[in-house]
Amino acid sequence: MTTRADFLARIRDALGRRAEGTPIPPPPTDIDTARTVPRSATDLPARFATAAAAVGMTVHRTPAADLESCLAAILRAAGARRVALALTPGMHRLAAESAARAAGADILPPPSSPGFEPHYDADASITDVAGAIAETGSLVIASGPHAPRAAFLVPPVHIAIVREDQILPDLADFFPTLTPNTLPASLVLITGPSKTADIEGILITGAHGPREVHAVLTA
Amino acid sequence: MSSPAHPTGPVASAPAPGGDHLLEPPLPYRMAPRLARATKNIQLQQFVATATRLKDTKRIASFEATFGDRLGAVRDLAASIKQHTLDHLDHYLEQFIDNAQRAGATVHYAADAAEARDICLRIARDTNSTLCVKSKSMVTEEIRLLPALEAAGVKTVETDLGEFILQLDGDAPSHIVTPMIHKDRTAVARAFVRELGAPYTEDPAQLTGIAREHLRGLYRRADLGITGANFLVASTGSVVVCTNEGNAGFCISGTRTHIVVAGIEKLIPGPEHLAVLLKLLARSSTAQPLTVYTTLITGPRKQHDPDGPDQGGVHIILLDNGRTDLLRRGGPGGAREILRCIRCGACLNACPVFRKAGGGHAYGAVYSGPIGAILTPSLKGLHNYPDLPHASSLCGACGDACPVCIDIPAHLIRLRAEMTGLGLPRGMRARKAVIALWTFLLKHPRLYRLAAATQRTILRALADDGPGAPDPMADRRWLSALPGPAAAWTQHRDFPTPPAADFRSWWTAHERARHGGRDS
Repeated sequence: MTTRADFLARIRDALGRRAEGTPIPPPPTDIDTARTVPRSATDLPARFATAAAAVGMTVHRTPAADLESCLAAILRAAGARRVALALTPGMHRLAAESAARAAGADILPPPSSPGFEPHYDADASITDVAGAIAETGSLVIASGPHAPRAAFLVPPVHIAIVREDQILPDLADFFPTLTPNTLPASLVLITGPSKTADIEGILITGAHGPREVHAVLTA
Repeated sequence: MSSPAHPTGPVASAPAPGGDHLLEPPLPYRMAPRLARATKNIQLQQFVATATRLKDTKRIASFEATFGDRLGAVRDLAASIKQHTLDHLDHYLEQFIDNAQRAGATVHYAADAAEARDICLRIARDTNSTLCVKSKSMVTEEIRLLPALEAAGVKTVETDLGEFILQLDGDAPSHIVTPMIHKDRTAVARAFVRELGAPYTEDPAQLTGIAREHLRGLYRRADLGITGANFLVASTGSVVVCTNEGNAGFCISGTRTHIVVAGIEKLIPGPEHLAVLLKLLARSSTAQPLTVYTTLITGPRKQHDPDGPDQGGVHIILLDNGRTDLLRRGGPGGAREILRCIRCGACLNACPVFRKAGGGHAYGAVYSGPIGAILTPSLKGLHNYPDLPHASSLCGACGDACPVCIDIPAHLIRLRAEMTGLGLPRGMRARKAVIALWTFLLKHPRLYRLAAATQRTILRALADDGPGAPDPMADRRWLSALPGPAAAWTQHRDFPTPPAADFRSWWTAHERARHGGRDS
C-alpha cells in the first residue's frame, strides 16, 4: 500500500527537491487579467438578467411587495402540485409559503432521514441563493441546514429568489472570497437548466436536473 | 442533419462487450487497421466532422466575444497558474491533503491503476455498497474501474447520457468531452429498445427523457457515487466537478458514499484561480460561459445538513499512474507541461486528423486526439504507441486551441525525435535509408542529375494521367497507381510526375531568353 509519505516522496524526487518545506514563490495573483465585468459596474441586475437568459434561465424582476404573487404565478404556470422549500426562516420563506398556498400546491415535509428522498415527489422547488454572478448569470447555492442539495437538482422546476444586492460583478469577485472556514460542504454555481447535447449535438434541456430554472430578482 | 426513417446499420465497427479492446488494445498499438476502417466510413467521418467543426467555430467566437484581444494574456495566466502548481506540486498536494482531511474527507494514495481499483473495491466492500452510480470521468476510464467493480459484484451505472448509451451498447467513448460523437440517434433508439424495453423513438428529447426516468429509478437505490474531478483546490481542500446534465449531483450528493478519483495534475493553489481556469474550461469545451453545474465539494455532509454523503463518506483517491515520470521532465519544452492539460477537448475539435480518423477510437487509448497523441505515449511508453506522435500533420491548430498554451506540435516533434533515438518504429529504418541515399546524391551533383533524369523519364513513361485530363498549364502528368510501399499514396490520390524538363534546364533557358542571347 502506498502511504502519503511514499507518494509525496516520489513527487518530490521527480521535482528534484531535497526536502519538504522548501520555500516556494507565491502563485500568480493577477486574477483581474481574466475579469470581464468591471468591479465598479452599477447595472448588475440588468447584466445578470441578460447573462442568465442567454444560458436558458427565465428571469423575473419584482418589487419585494409582489414577490408572493410572482412566485405563485410561476408555480401555477408550471402546474406544480407539490413544492419543496429550501429557504432560511424569514421574509422570503413566508412569501414562498403563501405563494404555494395561493397556487394550491402542497409544501413537502422536510426529509425524515438524510438523503434526496422526498424531493423525487416534488414538482417544483423554491430556494434562496448564497449569491449570484452577473458575468455568467450564475446562481450560487450553498448547502446548509435549510438548504438540501436535492432542492435545486431533483424537482423539474427550480425557482431561486435572488436579492439584487447579492449579485457580484464577476467570477473574479466571488472565488477569492472562499476560505476553508466559510465553505459549506457543497457549493454549487448553477448556470442554466440541466442540459445535454450528447445525441447528435442537439441541445436538450432537462437532462437529469431541472427543465426550468427561474431566477426571481427582488430588491 | 436529417435522420433516416428506418434504422440503418451500425456506424462504428461492431465492438466487443465492454468496449475494452477499443481503449485497451494489445500493445504495441498500431493505428493502421482502425484508420483504414475509419477512412472508408464516410458517415462516421461526417458525424465527427460535423460535431467537431461546430464546436471549434463556437469556441473561437465565444472567446472573441468574451476576451477579444486579451485572450492571449488570459491563456498565459491560466498556463502560468497550472505550471506554477506543477513546479511545486509536492507543496500543494500536502496542503490539499491537510485541508481535505480537516474538512472530513479521507484521502487515499494510488501509485498505479491497480492500486486505485483496489482502494475503490475496498471502500465498496467496507460500505456494503451494491449499486454504484458513476459520473463521466476520463481518469476512471484510465484505471478501467467499471469492469473491476462489476467483477466484484457492484453493479455500476454510467449516468452521463452519452456514457450511459455507450455502456448499454458495449462501446467506448470517442471524445474526452462528448463521448458519443461517433453514434447517431438511431443507434440510441435501438439500444433503448433492446436494453431498456423502451418504445422506438428517434426524438432526442424523448430519448433523453427515457434515460432520465430510468436513471432516476437507479439514483434512488444507489449507495455509492463515483466521480472524477476537474480541479483540486489546495488552500481549501475542495474538489471541483463541472457538468452540464446534473447527473454528477446525484453521484456526489445523493449517495451515502462518494469516491473521487483524481490525477495529481488537477491541483491548483487557491479558489481565486478558479476564476481564471473556469472561464477558459467551459468556453474551450462547449462555448458555454460556465458548465451548468460547477460544484465545490469540501468534505462530507455537515452535522445539520439534510443530505450529502455520511461522515467519513467522502473518499479522495489521488492517482499517480505514470504522471511523476512526466513531472520529472521539467524545464522549457519538457514533458511536465503536458500535465497542464485541463481536458477541455478543444485540440480534438480543432484537429483535421482527428476528424479524418473518425474520432478517438483510432488512437487506441483513453486520451485521444492531439493531446492523446502526446499524453498516451508519455504515460504508457513510446514503444507501446509508436504511431501516435505521427498522427498529425503538424498544422498547429491544436497548439492554437489550447487554453493553457501546451505546445502540442513541439511535443509531437520531440516524441518523434525520441523515437528516432530509440530506433522506433521499424518504418523509421526505411526512412533513414532514404535520407542516407538522398544525402549521398546531394553530395555528388553528377550522380544527382543522372538520378533525377532517370526518375523523371521513368515516372513520365509510367504516367496514365488518371481519370482526368493532363493539366496543360503545368506540364505535369499523373500516376494513378504506384507499386510497392508507394501504393499507400495512390490509394487515396494521384501522384504527379515531374515536368518534362528539370529546373536547371528551365533556368538556363530562361536566363538565355532574358539576356537575348547577347552574352552567350
